[in-house]
Amino acid sequence: MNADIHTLTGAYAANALPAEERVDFERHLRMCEACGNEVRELQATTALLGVAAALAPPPGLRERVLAEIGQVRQLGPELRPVPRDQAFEPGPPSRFTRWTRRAVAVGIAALVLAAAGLGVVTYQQRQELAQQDDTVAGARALSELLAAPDVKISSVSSGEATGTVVSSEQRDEAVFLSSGLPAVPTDKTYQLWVIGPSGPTSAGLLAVGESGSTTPALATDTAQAQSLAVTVEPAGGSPQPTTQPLLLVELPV
Amino acid sequence: MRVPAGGDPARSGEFAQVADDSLEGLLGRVAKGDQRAFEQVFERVAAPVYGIVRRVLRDPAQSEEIAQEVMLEIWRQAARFSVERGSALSWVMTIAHRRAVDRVRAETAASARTARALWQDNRTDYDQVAEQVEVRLEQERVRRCLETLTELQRESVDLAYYGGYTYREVGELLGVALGTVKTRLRDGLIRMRDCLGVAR
Repeated sequence: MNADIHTLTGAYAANALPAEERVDFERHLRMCEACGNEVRELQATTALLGVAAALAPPPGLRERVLAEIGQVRQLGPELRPVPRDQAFEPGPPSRFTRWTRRAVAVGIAALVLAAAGLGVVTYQQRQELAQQDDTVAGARALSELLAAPDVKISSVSSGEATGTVVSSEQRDEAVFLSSGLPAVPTDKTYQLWVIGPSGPTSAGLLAVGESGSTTPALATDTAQAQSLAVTVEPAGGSPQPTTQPLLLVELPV
Repeated sequence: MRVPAGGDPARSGEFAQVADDSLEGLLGRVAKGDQRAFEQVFERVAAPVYGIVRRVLRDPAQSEEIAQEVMLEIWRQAARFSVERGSALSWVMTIAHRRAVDRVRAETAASARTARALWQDNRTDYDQVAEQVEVRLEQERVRRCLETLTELQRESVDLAYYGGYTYREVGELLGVALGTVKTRLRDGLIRMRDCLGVAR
């Protein structure tokens, strides 16, 4: 990410960013309030450009859509992160509080795992300021995700490497963590993919620290996805994977 | 169908009394599974949704398929809509435009057609039939505002939004540097925002 990322608000509002840059910019958006306001205004503007193109839909569309909604399950709302002390507050015992507590306990285990990755990043931040946005966004996403009542964790090992996915179906998000991936040459990079019903979509590039851990990476639109995968790609990343996955972690159901 | 005259309906005073009837209010009911509310949402947004998808994709059969997906997506994701991130109309149109653009890009990648070849038959056509008077007025307003843009700004906005091209493709088509496309797109949309009176 470079200094002029702010000028991408226009391209973002017009959906003119290639997939991988869209993911990067959305990460940046979480950090940048001014960009968020501008994006909102410019999206309201492009919405009017869209309305100006209005055309009567084909006659059968309404019936088909209305017939089909009965068979489509709706997503739950995005839940705001629960403050830590509230999550621990002892309430009347029920099936759900037991579940929540277990989830929080599992979450803390993952936080420790993530902290190992973050330690490395402080070194990297000095080298590359751009990395900081991603890392902080990833860490913030991770702590928010850990507060989700339906947080789940799954891990897969392949040789020396281990990939871990912390995910929440309700939040439609997952954070990917890994350790033990070998360093890649400078003209190559690790790239994270969300493998959904319509194939892989990029969830951005992964930075490997000195200890071999990657910084926590946020993947969105994961509620319908089957798995997350890591491949080696040419520096800068690819629109679609060009190599076989080194790690493939199924999203916990 | 009602077409808002611009601005953020959620924030404007006149909507306060009829909040439940606003697109925002309807989406709130859709989020709880209210199919009647969804029918009303359909009435209001189906034409803009189908229109923008058709403008980008051109092919009627494909456009119908994508418009159907978009409407189902609105049903599925209604609970994820948040006024904090913009108006309901913005949310709906972003989903619609993005779906159309994603389809174009998947196809372009698959058939490896060049952007230049597509450009020939994908110029903005302002003469498409508009059935409702409101839509015609809205079109007129948008056209007048587009005319206040510089040529490069207008071409960038046109190719990116109505053409569904990435800013890299737009740069290639117009023969200008990527940095220039980015700023022209942003400047152009900012000028449109001010001209259309979109709430700040």
